Amino acid sequence: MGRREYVSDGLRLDGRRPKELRNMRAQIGVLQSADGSAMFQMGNTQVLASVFGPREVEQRSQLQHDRAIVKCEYAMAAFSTGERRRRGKTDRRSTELSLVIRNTLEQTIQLEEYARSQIDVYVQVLQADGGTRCACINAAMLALADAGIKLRDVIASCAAGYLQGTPLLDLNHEEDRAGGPDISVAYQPGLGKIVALQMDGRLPTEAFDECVQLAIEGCKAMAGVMRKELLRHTRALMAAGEDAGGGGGGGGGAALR
Amino acid sequence: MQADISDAEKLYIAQGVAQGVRNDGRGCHDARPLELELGVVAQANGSARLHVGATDVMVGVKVSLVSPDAAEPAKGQVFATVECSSCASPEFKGRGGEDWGIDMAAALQSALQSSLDLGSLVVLAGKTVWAVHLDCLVLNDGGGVLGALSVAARAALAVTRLPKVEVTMGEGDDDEPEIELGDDSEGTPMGVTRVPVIVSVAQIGSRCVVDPSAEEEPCASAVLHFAVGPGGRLGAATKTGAGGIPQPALLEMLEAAQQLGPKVLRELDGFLAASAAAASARAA
Amino acid sequence: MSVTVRAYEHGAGTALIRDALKPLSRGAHASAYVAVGDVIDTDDSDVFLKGHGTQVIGDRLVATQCGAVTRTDKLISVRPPRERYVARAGDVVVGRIVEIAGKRWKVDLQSQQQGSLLLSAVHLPGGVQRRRNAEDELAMRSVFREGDLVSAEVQQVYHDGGVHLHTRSLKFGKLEQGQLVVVHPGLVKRQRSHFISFEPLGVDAILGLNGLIWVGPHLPRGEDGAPAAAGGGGGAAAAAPEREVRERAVRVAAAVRALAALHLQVFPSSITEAYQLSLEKGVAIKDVPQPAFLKLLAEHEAARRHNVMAAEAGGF
Repeated sequence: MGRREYVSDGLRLDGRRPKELRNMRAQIGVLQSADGSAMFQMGNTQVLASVFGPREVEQRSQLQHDRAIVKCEYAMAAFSTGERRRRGKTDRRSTELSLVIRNTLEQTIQLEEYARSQIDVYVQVLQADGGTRCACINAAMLALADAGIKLRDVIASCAAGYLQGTPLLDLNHEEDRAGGPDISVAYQPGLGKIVALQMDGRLPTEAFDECVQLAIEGCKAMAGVMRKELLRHTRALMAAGEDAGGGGGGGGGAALR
Repeated sequence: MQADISDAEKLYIAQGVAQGVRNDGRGCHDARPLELELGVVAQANGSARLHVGATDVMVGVKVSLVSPDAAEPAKGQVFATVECSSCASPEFKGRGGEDWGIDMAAALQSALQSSLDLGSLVVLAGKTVWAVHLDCLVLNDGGGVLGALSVAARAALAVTRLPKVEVTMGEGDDDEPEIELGDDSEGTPMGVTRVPVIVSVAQIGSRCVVDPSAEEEPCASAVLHFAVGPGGRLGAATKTGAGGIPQPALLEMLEAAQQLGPKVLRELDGFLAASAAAASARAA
Repeated sequence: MSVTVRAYEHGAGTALIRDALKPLSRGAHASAYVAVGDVIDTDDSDVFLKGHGTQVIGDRLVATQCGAVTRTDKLISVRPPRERYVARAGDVVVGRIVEIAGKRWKVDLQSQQQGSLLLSAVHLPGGVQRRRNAEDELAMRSVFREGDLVSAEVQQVYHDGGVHLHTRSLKFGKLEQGQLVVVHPGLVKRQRSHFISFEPLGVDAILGLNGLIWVGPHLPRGEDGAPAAAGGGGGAAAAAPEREVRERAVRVAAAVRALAALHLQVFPSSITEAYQLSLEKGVAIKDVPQPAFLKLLAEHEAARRHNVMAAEAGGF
């Protein structure tokens, strides 16, 4: 078996250029029973996220007087991977990813606005083709926004890798499996902050900077797409609610927090 | 899974059923509309997502080549699993809903094993057969989940394509035959005509209602789940609930299921045929 | 006994109302919408008050929620389309008893925290408010038990977010003879009364500001607001409503669901209009929340708004 060419003539296995993102698709408000939900797709990777809360804390011992607690669970559907696999929700990878996602979201939710309450975030991977953790963070963020949970900024998450001396943006599963390094980044574009960064594999120092930069550029582009979808969805819901006869103030006369 | 409901609400529902007026305006023999999406998981061999009222389920079908069971060398295999996604409700986080999922999976698997032509899933008798894995995900419980899973399963199977397989026999008697998977964009469909739908009939007071909603389920003293095939042929049946069913009621419930089942199958097949026609028109 | 199988369309309700209202969107009421993280225009003013859904970063006002920007004097806020219910004193709510703990009932209001209904805040049999004794505590379950739905008023919201409810007026209390319809809290606006009687129909509704709506046949009440039939625990003794009345009640509930599917506000006149329209068009009750009628309702609403706007314009 010869060595696999991941980049040849400036094109990758799926025909993309090195710095090209896969096609993205976001749908907001896809699950009836949740307070907020979203479906996020990146190429073939497809993730569903739902949010319940803020609500009463389930275990009183965990209650925090000055902030909300966040619970997160990551699960993969048995049909989500190329080779079908039944995976429990409590296996190591699921637990690790649940922690990473929770940690990322905790930095973005205005936890202090929801003291003494609990926010549950569940992500369900429907199709895994590389970049699943990034897709999960994106879907979760959209679901939180759908639930009306206050966020310091939007978050976009994206991964970059390095194969055959070329930085590659948004690796799919095949590229991921090639054994090269893989850096996933979660970024707040408005605040200009990196809220999550994880690297697997070894990377020469110069290339590290280049890859992180590339991932950030990818995040910015994705944030733009997600923001558009959030606006579109918001507009659609609110246009219906506006009363032509002058509109209700509703919760408008707000107290300063 | 039981919804939180007060005795007063249950009484109102029961009195309504006795008058033939359910809380959503349906009559006792009316099923809710079925809303289907096909091929939602492109990487699976077949998939479907179904919405019935507030109930939301997804089924993915994946096939693989395996050695057959020693006891059944000329039969393929079919397996069903049901997982309650945490996305549906915090009560399903961790292992919540696991037992319920196992029960429903058993019902589905038994219905499929007795209706799919497992002989047609043989590639090389005694050596290689197809294993069909149906993995189901419950995304919301709005009542009638098992029935919804059966419809989604049938739809997913109907759009499943078995990859073409090339079998090259070995040179000598002792050589193993080579098996190569063809390009799965042209696959062979599976025969699903005999796959049943499961119709749930709930006994509320002395009346019975089909396709119970989430608020009706806790009002039922018992629920019967009938696997009904084309022509009203009865497959399996299971009972849930702590109450007993008098024999005349049992017959009434069976009849209701046998009336509704074929109608669902007919409408479903009509929809699947129309979707397939639209898809090939688009491809042309 | 027909069976329907059709293709699922995500966001169908939203699409229907959006398409119906599109011709009207060039009105003066076009709002400014923002997404999370967007900088909000403060009209170049240095002086502004940061309202709901906003945060100050440096010298800029940034949205923390998606929604419509509202400006009242110098107070700039963002009103989101969806949010868990936030209680305010005086709100009429419908909630489910989830726990009995000590001298209080814990009530699920589908809000950030559960509401507390203290034993001392409940109207007990005996008419006159009297001191609560030990018997009362043990008998709490006979007043309201876990799973019961109650209507109540928010007495007070504490700074830590705790919500105290009361059912001191006789019109509040355990809900019987009816069904619950749950909608987004944003669709129910504060109004004069949340206890609605659709007189000619013989149907009553309670519009909880937390989005929980109770619909049932009319229960006659005395002048004090108490149900005239039996005090406190009608239960099995309550006579079943006649089929016609039940059908009307179920149709009102279906009308509420239809409004909610289109994200239209739920109040007495919108419910009545949806109800009448469904009768006019000969729609079966079970078909009221379905796409065919939703389309008619969306168009009806667009026509109504058009008339309102034309009348306003004509007023100049």
